[in-house]
Amino acid sequence: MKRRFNQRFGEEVNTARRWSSRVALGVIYLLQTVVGMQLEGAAHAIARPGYQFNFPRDYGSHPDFKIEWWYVTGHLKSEGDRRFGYQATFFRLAADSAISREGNPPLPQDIHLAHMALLDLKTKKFYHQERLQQSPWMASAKKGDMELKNGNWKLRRIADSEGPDFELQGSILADVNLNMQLSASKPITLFGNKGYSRKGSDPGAASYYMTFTRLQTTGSIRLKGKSLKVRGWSWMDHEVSSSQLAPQQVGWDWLSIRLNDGRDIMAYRMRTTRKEADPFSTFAWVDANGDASHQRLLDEMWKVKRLWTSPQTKNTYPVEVELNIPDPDSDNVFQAHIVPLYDGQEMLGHLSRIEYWEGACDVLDAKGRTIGEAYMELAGYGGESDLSALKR
Amino acid sequence: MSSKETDKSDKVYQVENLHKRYGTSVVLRDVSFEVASGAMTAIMGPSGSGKSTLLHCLGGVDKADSGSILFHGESMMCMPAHEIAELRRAQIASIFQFFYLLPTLTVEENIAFPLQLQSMPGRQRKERVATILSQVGMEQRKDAFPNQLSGGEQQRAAIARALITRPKVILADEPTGNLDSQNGRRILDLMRELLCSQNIALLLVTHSEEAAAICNTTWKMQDGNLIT
Amino acid sequence: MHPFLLLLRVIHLRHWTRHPLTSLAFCGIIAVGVAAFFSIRLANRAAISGFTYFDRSLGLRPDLVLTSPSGQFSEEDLFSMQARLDATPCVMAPVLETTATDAAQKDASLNLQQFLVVGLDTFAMSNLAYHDPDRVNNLARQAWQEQPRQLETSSEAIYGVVISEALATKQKLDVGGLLEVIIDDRKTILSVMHITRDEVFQVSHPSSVLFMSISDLQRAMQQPKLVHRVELYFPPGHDKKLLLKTAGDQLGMDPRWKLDTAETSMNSNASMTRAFRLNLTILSMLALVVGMYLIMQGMDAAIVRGRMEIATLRSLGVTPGALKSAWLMESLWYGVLGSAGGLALGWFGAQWMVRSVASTVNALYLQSASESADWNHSEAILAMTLGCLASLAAGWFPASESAETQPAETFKRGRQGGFMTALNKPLWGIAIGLSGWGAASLPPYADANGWIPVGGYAAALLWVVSATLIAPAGLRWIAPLLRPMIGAHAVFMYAFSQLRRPTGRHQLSVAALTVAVGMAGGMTFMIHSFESTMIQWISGSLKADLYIACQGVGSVSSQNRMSRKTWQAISDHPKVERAEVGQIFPIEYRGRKTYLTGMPVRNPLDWEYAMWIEAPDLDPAALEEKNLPSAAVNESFQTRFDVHPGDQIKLPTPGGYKEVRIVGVFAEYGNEHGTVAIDRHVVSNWFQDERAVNIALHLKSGTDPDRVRNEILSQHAGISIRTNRALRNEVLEIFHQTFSVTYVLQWIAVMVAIAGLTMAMITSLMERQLEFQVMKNLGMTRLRMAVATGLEGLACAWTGFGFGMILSMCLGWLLVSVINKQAFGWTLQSAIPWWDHLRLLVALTLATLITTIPVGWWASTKRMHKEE
Repeated sequence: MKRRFNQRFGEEVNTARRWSSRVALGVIYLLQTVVGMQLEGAAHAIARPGYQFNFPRDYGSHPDFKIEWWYVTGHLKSEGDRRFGYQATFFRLAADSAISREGNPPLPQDIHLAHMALLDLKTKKFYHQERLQQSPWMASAKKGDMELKNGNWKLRRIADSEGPDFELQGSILADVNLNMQLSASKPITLFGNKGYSRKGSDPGAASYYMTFTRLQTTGSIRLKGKSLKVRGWSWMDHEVSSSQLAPQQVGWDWLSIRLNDGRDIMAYRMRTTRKEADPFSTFAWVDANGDASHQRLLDEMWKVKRLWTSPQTKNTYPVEVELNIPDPDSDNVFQAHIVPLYDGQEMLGHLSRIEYWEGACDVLDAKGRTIGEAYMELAGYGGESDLSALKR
Repeated sequence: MSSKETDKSDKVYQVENLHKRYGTSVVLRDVSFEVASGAMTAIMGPSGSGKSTLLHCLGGVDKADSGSILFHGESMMCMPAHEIAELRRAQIASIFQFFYLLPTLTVEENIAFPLQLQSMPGRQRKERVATILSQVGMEQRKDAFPNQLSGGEQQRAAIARALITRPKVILADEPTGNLDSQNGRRILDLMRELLCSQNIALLLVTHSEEAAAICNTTWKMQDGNLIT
Repeated sequence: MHPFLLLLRVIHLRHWTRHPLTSLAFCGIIAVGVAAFFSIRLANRAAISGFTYFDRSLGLRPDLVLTSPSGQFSEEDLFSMQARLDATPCVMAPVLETTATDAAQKDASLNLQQFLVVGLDTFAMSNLAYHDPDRVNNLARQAWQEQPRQLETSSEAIYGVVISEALATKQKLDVGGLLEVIIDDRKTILSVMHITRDEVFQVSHPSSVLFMSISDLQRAMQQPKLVHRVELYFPPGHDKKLLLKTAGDQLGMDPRWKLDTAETSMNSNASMTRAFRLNLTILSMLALVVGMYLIMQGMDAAIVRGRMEIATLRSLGVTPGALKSAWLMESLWYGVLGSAGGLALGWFGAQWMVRSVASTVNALYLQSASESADWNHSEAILAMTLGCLASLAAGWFPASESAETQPAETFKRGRQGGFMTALNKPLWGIAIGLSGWGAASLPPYADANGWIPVGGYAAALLWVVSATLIAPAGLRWIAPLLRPMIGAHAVFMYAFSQLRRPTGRHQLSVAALTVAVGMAGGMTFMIHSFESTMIQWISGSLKADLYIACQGVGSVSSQNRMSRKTWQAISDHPKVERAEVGQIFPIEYRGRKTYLTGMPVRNPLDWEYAMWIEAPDLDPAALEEKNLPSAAVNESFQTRFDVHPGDQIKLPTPGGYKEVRIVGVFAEYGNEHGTVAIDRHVVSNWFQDERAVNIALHLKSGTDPDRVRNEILSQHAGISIRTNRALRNEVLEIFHQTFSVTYVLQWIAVMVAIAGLTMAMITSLMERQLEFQVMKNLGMTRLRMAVATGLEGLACAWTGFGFGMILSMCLGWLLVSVINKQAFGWTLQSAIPWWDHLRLLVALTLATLITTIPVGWWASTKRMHKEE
């Protein structure tokens, strides 16, 4: 039973966004196969306009919704300017919506999927791991505040002085250990219409979308027995939804940019079967106050400069792109050349078989000067997962 | 050639044209002879001439290929095994060069053994054993085991065992062959004394002229032929 | 040429070629001994390898295993474990196991073959794909690839199952096929989701294992939170060892669980059955031990035959050392060739024995589905080594004697050569026998797995050696007793006179028979005592009219249980006067496995059918005042843990340790790990589990049990019901089955000894051919010679039997009062198996006569050697 979601993004360019939640497509694909469920959303809450966000409540889990995720990426440096890029993702899928097989009792617990990755630029080694948990003692997502757990991987809010502080704890097999403190230096950004992000014409096709675009990050990485103190910046998305995917959507390219001048950009390009950008493709500038202004992302704004083929999966990814978008602070076109720190930042989902590229990149201007750092995600470029392997 | 003496009832053995072959070699060639009661006959000849084989056939422990052996007028060639065994129990006795006493029996028991085969009652048996022990001069050694005896003593015990059943004939195969000359003479004297007194025929196979001298008659055997 | 090699060529090789049958016989004896040992060892391995502990997962071995002393974990425990692990990455996989009966099986016997059903957390297990992606290839994920077909008409829940290729072939199942099993007392339909290669299961009998998701199994068992153990898998990488150590520190020293490595857990099955297998192993060496005597006797005969050659060689200057080495080399050759033959024979023997051993293990210890025994190199090497050592040991004394005896003395000994002066030491025998009593009083060796009665085994060995030294000398004592018969007839005279100066062959035959009869008789003594005790116990404790259990339950390891709904409905049958519900929970007490059972009464004093070893004599009011539950323990528990009435002990339960007070000790022979019996209601409450392992019904007076049985069966499909008589018969049948291998080994040993006696007679008569000719000359018939030989053999056999009986009484007492008591903790009432001994005597007599009379007849037909 492999159903695709019907999803329509709202026509307003100020909405959209929601599917920049990266592997959400694949996750839903995975999870619906895992539990054979029909994500019609009939049994779950749906995002509605006018929702009153309340923090720290909305940092936490929303069990009434089918799916939500917390997605952290970041650039780090240790002493001697050794560079790292990292990703930590926590997904929750509500299991009580599963109508599994007829006649069989439903699954009792939420399902938690998580990804963790680290790029060590010095050694050009990309570490990554995926986890899938169902048991409540192994994984949980607390309601009312951010406290996420998947085995020893944890993400939680630990303080709230001038802004919320978070702690991230993770590992990748027995090679990598991460301990990070993330401190928000900008208020939370609510994408869409005050956090209500439309996906399509169906009123139910929407999500709540919250992001910290700029989190000051300090901590340590233990790498093959050696501990390194690191610092840098991170980006954290949190999205809540019960909506579906559209059948014509085949993948997406997503970009988060942190410019040295303090501004942030998010760009999202949903690709269709006709190899065009879906009308819901969009980009948004985030100002110092965390406010976002959305515009539609057109094909010509996104140019592929270089492709890379994975030696493992044979998928070909457009790892180097050029973004040309209007600059809200001037009348010029803002040009950003997105160059990956390392090509081989491909996530191989041994469990989900979701293959996508998620990598740390440098942002260069037209003259080749570094003007910021970015994380780019490229999904749907092959290896469509045979997720029946994870069915129960 | 045969030698007929008195009439058949007095004859212990009447042998005619006895023939025996082992493989391709002929051991007995048409041997014929008679042995009368009480006759003491020596059979001499070189090794391999067939002497022992002749004794075996006469004792019923071996069978000739052809010819006839009459023991007191009865043919042994057609006799069933149990009848031959009965003959050996009561009428035919043997004395061997190596004594062949049963090693797990004492002297007294060895001597008594043939009487036990005849199921002779105990008291009668004991009396007869005591008598023969005295006759061969082995009373003092009656409880000894064969390996505790000298050669002469063993042979005296063997002689006693042979005589205990009062046989009609004794077949002796080199009885002094394993004894020194002095003991040998003693044994021969004993044999002559006991056999003559009881009128027991003797067929004595020997290489020794001295041993043959105790006999009345000496026959020669050569290449299976008996020359009487 | 070196003297040693010259000797081998001139004497020994010629010996083999001139007496091939004798050489073959020696090899055959060693082969039988090695075969008996090897077959038992292989069968033992197969019986316990059916379900090795740690391998019951799909493809990977856990690094650590957490088990609970109470036998199960609560959900709180799992949260605690994960909290303790904190930042340490690992895959934590809870596992649930139960047994299930194939609903298609019609056989209603107690010892029905069951499936082992393993419930795994497939989500957790799927994460192992990152631990070894190439090898594992995410088997858990593969296993759940297929969705089950929907059963359109059934309203029962269908659960997915992964099976092996072996089971699929056996039951002709494909993916989507349905398998009906009985889990607890309910029929459950399983749909085959995936068929996995047999080697993935990493168990000996993949056709007996089913894998399900743990949540499905919990639902099928109606035990939503039940977990038996937790397996921990740590990721590969640079810091793996550090992670393991850290986890060990984090999880260690918590009374709620025990942390083991996979190897320790794997050995738990082996340790559970250790006492039983050790006993079988020791018994399996019996034939080899008896065979040693025969080899010794044969070597002695060969040396006697070659005495002239030996004397000549010595006079030519060959050293005693070279002579001895050459004889030992011959011994070794017999050992090597015989052992090789024994391995082949033993492998075949193991295929026959494995079912018997597995049935016993299945009934008494754990699920064992072994149907064949696999070759094992280390066991083969061990068996071969033992066979060679036995042969060398057997040849040692004859070789030493031949080498050290002066030539002149060799000549003088004549036929009495090979007197085996080494055996002619009765005083030594008595001294060793007395030291055996001292050994018997030693306490057992105790370790984590139980008790080993080392003193008892040492005493047994010492008494066997003692008998070996006394019995041959005893031949001389027998001869005077036979004196009156010696004078009766020539046949008796010749036959019994042989015993006055017994040769080495006589001595060794008697020694071999003494040992064989002694050990076999001792075992029979023990079994008879055990049987008598069991019958008494059964008579005293099985008083109900009907006994009900889940279908296929016949072993302690069976985990099928009846739901409360079922046993309550049965108890409410109008013809039932009283129902006694039984429960059992495996727990660990002081680090050792034992069982906690639910008594049908609240107070042990009211337990009508208990057979008390130490009856409760405490004031019930005092018990109430203490507010502690009363417990009765069986003898094994008392012995293992050294507890007594009045003691207070703490028992592990899912909700923590509970204190109870011991009030009495009862007799119970179901297992040797011990039983603690407490009021069923209390136990149910502790374990939050009201399922019953069995229920005994006392019917109203005048009720027809068969009618009630049929009525109940018509309403409840997943149970089996036995009448009192049927259950008693089945219990005794299982009892005898557990000793089936023992019976076989006993008879092998006795037959080896009889074969030895026959061989001794043959070799002895071969040497006495001249005597036979003399007797023939003296007029003895063949029949009489044959009878004399038979009587000679019979005298040896009865002498061996007589001394063997004395030895058997001693060994029997040792087995009952020392070894059994220390190893298993049971008190048995001694019962001398007079009829069995008589049967053995008759069989021995007949076998001796049947073998030796023909030998005598054959010897009497041999022609006299020509003197010329």
